[in-house]
Amino acid sequence: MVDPDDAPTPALAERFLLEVAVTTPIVVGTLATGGVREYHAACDGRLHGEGLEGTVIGGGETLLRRPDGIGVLEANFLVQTADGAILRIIGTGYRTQEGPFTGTRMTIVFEVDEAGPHAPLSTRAYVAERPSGSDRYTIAEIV
Amino acid sequence: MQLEFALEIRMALGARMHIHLAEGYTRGAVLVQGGTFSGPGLKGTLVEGSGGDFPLVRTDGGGRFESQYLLRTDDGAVILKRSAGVRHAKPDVIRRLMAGEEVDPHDYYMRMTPRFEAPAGPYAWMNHSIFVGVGRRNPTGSLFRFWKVV
Repeated sequence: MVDPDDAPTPALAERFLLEVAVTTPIVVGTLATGGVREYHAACDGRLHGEGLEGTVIGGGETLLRRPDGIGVLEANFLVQTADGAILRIIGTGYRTQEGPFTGTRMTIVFEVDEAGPHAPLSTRAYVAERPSGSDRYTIAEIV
Repeated sequence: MQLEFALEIRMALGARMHIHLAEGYTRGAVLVQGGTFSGPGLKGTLVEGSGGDFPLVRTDGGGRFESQYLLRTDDGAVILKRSAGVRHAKPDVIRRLMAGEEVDPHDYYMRMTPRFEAPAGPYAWMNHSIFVGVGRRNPTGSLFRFWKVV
């Protein structure tokens, strides 16, 4: 008999580092729906870690500075791996400037060619963290 | 990054509906019929009819999980939960899940990353936290547990 309350307990396993250099923010302005929207285009970067080495070739981050002081972040980075594959990293999360952690935390999924060597990336969910003042995300798989 | 337990949701499910988008590619829809949630400093019920779970299932095992519904705390706050997630399993496990059979949750990977919109006040911390969750689908309901990333 299966215990109906039994479920896996998740953990975070660090897999990759993502270093991204971005341009000076491009400010859209104050939105009628609240907050200030800005965009940071990625101009350089590197993804490396477990079995993976790649270069950031495009994408960026958009930040909505909400009226409550929280920044809502959406990231979208294109990475070309050393073996020629293209990965898309899609992240959503928050940037906080006060509290026990200051910086950005987001959840991530990968889009990859399902017939390629990196296909397993898209079968898992990830979280990422970048402390204030750093240009480097630590990416951990939710195991 | 570490995980700190935040809440558990027990959801009663309505009728299972399927939208067959293409061969081997199906959107499921199950509406919230009620349920409860609890965690440290957090307790209440799910708002019936406020939304549901909408998994995108591929018969080859891949899938994405989306959900949206409302929570109402015992002290009257209404909180919107929106979640995205990844589900991956072997094709025979997917077939059993789709058929509504009881499946051992350790036999598939299902991890969610919800967002919450809570009113200003004691639950405002949910508005700038990220969470990871696991779930299991039972024939008559779903169980989800969520941890906050700290």
